[in-house]
Amino acid sequence: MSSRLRRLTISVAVLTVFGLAISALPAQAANVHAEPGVSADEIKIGITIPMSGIAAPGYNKIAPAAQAYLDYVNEKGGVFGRKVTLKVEDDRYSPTTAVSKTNKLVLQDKVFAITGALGTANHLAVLNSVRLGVRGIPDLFVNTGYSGFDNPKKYPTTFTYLPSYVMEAKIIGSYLASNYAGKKIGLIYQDDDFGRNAKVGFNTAGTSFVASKGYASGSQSSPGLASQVGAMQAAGAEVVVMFGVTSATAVALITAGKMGFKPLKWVIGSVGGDSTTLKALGVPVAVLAGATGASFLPSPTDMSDPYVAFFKGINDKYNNGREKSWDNNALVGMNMAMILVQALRAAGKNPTRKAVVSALELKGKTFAQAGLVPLGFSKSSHAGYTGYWFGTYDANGDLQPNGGKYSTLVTNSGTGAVTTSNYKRPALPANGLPTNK
Amino acid sequence: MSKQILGRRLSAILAAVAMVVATVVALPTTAIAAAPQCATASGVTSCQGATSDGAPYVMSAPLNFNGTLYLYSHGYRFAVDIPVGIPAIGGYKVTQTPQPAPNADVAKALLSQGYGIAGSGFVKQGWNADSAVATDVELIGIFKTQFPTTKHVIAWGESLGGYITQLLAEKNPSLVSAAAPMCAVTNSIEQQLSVATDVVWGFQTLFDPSIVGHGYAPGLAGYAQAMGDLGKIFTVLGKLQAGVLTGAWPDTAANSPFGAALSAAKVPSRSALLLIGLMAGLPAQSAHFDGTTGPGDPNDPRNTSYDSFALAISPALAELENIANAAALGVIARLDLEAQSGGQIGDNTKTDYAAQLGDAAATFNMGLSGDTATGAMLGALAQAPRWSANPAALEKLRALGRHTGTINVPTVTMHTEADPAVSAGNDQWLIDKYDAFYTQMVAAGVAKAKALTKKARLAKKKTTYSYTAPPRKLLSFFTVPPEHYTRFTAVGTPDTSGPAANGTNHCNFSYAQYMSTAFLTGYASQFGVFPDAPIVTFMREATPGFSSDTLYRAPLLKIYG
Repeated sequence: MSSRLRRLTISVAVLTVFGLAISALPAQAANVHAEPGVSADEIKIGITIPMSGIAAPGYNKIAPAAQAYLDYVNEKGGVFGRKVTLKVEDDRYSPTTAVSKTNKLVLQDKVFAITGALGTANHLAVLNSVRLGVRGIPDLFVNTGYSGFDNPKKYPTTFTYLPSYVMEAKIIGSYLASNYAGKKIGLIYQDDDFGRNAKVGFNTAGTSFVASKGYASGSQSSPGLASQVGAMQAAGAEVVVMFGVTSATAVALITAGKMGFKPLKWVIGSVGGDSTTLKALGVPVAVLAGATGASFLPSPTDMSDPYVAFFKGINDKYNNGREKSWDNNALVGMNMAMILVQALRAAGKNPTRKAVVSALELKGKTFAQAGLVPLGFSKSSHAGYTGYWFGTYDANGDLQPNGGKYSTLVTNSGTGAVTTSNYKRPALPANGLPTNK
Repeated sequence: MSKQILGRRLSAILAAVAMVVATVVALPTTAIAAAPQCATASGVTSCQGATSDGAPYVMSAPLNFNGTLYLYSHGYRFAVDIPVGIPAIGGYKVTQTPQPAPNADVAKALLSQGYGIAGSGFVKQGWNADSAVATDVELIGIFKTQFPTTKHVIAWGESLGGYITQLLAEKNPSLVSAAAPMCAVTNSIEQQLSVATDVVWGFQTLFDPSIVGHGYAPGLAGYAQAMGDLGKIFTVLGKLQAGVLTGAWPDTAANSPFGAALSAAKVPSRSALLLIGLMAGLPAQSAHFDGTTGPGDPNDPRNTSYDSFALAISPALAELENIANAAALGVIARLDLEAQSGGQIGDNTKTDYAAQLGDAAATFNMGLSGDTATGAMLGALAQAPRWSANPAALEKLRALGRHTGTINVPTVTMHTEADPAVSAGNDQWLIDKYDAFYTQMVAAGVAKAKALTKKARLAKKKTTYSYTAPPRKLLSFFTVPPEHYTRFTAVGTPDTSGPAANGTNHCNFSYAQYMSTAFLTGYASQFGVFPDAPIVTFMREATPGFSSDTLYRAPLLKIYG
C-alpha cells in the first residue's frame, strides 16, 4: 500500500471512529469548477438589500425589478446561453446581517459576483469582513454614493452605481448658488459617512448654511426629526436641503407640515427622493409638490424616454415582486441589471471574475444604459454615474425636469468644477437586449 | 479564566478521571516530586503524582495504548482567592488540581480510542507560561517512563494553556509531534493586556473615576484595590444595563468631567459603552446578543423596535456581556502581572482611539448615536489623562517567555470569532507570522532552484532544478456565531438564560470541534503532515460550527495597528 493510500485509509478509519460522517467526502472532492458561480447553463449573482425592516420601503423594489429584467434576458437566451440567476438576501439594512448574508452568498451559494449591495455602513462592514477584493469577487454597482468605495487600490473589484454624495452635494451647492443666492439655507443630513460625504461636497461648493443638523441613522422613526426641523424653522431657513434616506425625508416633511413650517423650497437629495415611496410613507402630495429633487436617471413617468418605456413594459410583464409598482427604484434595479448583463457579456463566453472587472474598466462607460449622465468606469476610477439633473415635484408628486428638459451637471468627487454635460447615452439596444456592439 | 473552566467543567473532568482511578492518592503540598502512583481499572491505567516543582499531575493510558499522548495545558486560573460577592467568579479558591483534557467527554473519547492523556495543575497559578513549559517537559518524561511505548506527544491547551502549548512546541520541537493551541493568547501577554487597558481605562475615564485600574499596590493592599475595582466595574455594568434603553449614565459618571459632559450632551450611556468595546477591539456579538435580532415579529412593518433593538441596543448589550465576561481577567491578570513585573505595565499614552475605532464608527453608527456623538466621545477620550507604564516593569514583563511565531510541528489553532477574553486576532497573529515565513521559504526555494539551473546552464549542463513547496504546517479553524440567536421572553425582554451561542465566549467549543482538532493533530503526529486537502475541507465543512471560510481573517488586536 502506498504511503498516500495508507494515509487516506487511516484518515477515513479515524474519522469513522471519531464519529464523523464521511458520506460527503466524494462530493467534496468532486465539487471542483473552474470559476465559482458559473456552470454550463447558469451564472449565479448575489445581492444583499433591505427587503424588510426600516429601510425596506422603496429599496425592496430594486431586486425584484432587476430580477424581472434578467428573467426577460434569460427568456431570450441569457448571456451566451447561460441564465443569469439572482440570489436575493434580505439584510434589513443591518451591517451585521449584511456580512452574514454576503458570507452566505459567497461561501454557500458560491455566487460569481455580488451586485447592487445597498448601504454605506453595510457595505463597509462587508468589505472589511468578507474582503471581496481579496477573494477576487466582482462587487458590482454598489448602491450607495459613499465616495470611499471608488478606490480601486483598496477595493479592486468594487464598482459603484450612484454618483458619489460628494458629487451630489457639489452639484446641489452649484444649483443653490445659481438659483437661491442670498437665501438662508438649512441642511438636514444623516449623521454618518453619508452626511459627512455631503458636507465635504457642500464645503467644496462653498455652500454655507444658517443651520445644519444631523440625525443618527435609524433614529428617524421615533423622535420624528422634530429637533432638526425645529432648528431649520428657528434659524429662519428659506431653503432646506434634506440629505437623507427616504424614510427620514418622509418623516422630516411630515413633521414640518405638522409644525407649520413651510420653507420657500425643499431640496431633496436623490437618495431620499423617490416620490412613490415618499407618498407611500404618508407625505402629502401637497407638501411634496413644488419641492426640488435630483436624479441621474430619466423620470420614471417619462414614457417618451425609450429606456423608461421599455423597462416599464418589462416591469409590467415580468416583475413578480410583492412591491411591483413602477417607480424610480424599479428603474434603478432594472437599469442596474442591464449594465450587469453587458459586463457579463463583455467578459466573454466563459466569463471569469477577472474578466468582468477588466471589462468594466475598459468598456464599462460605453455600455447601453438609461442614465442621462456618463458612467465613470476606468482603470483608475470605479465610480458609476457622475452627475445629476434637477427637477420639480409636480402636482402628482412626481419629479419632472425643470423647464421640461433634462439639463445635466457633472463633476467628480474631488475639487473638480461642476460643469454642464453634453453626454449622449447609447441608444436602447434592439428589444432591450444588449449586444455590446 | 472563566467560570465555565473553573467550575462545572473542571469538576466533570475530575469526576471522569476519578472513575478510572482506583486509588486516590494524597498529593504532597511541598515542592517535592512525587512518583506516579497508578491503578488500573476498566482497561485504563491512571496515575497521579507531582513533578519536581511540586505541581500535581494526572495521566492515563488505556491498556490498548496506541503510543500517542495528548498533553493538555489548562487555562488561566486566578492566583488569588476571589471573595464570594464578586459576580460570576466569586468564591473561587486557588487550586492546583490537574486537568488532563478539555472536558470529561473528550477525555473519555481519547482514552476509548487508545490514546493517552495527561495534564498538570501547575505549581503556580496566574500567568505561569515559563514554569508551566518546564513542568510540561518534565511530565512528558514521566509519562514516557511510565508508558514506554509512547511514540508521539501532542501538546494542546486552551487560553493560557494554548500559549503554553505554542511556547512548548517552539522551544522543544523534538518532544512534540503536533500541537493545538486553542483559544490561545499569542505573541506575549502584553498585547492581550492592552485590550484590558483600553476597556478598564475607558470605564475609569467615563463611568467611574474611582476605579484604580492599574498600578496596584503590592500585597494585600493591591489585592483589596483589585477586588474593589471588580465590584465597581460590575456595579457600573449593572447601571449601564438598567439605563440601556433610556441612555441614563451611572451616577458615578458625574464624578468624571468627561462622563458628566457627555451625559449633559445627552449622548446615551449605551453609546459610550459600545464605543469602549469597539475601540478596544472587543466583538460586538456576545454569548446572547447577535446584533441582528430584535423583539417581536420581524415581518410586521409596525414593529420598528425590531431593527432599532438590533442596531442600537443589541451591540451595546453585547459589549456589556463581553466586558462582564472578561473584566475579571482584565483586572486580576493585571494585578498578577504587575506583581510579577514590579509595577504598572499598561500604557495608552500614545493610543489613538479614533484610529482604533476605525470603520466601526460607520458600521455601528446607529449604536454610537451618529457622528456627532461619536466625535464628542472620542474628543473626551483624547483629552483624558492616560496610563503610562513603568519602563522597568515593562522590561520585566517583556522578558517573560514569548512566542516567536515559529511553527515547528504541525499545528492546529481553533478560536471562537467572538471571543471577549482572548481576541480571535491572537490566532491571526500566528497565521500572519506563519504565512510570511512560508511565503519567504517558498520564494527562497524557487530562487535557489532557478539559481542552480542557471549555474547548470552556464556549465553547459542540461540539469533543471525544481522546487516543491512543503506542505503547510499550520491549520486554523474559527467557530462562527449563527446569524440569529438572541432570544426574548414573552414580554419582549432579552432572555440570557440559555447557553452561549457557538462562536461566542472564551474557549466555548463543542465536543465535535475538540474531536476534529484532536483528529487532525493525531493524524499529523503520526505522518508529519496533515491529511490531504479534501479531508481537511471535509472536516472544516462537516464539523458543526466551524467556519468553512478559509479566507476568513480575524481582526488583529488593535495594538498591532
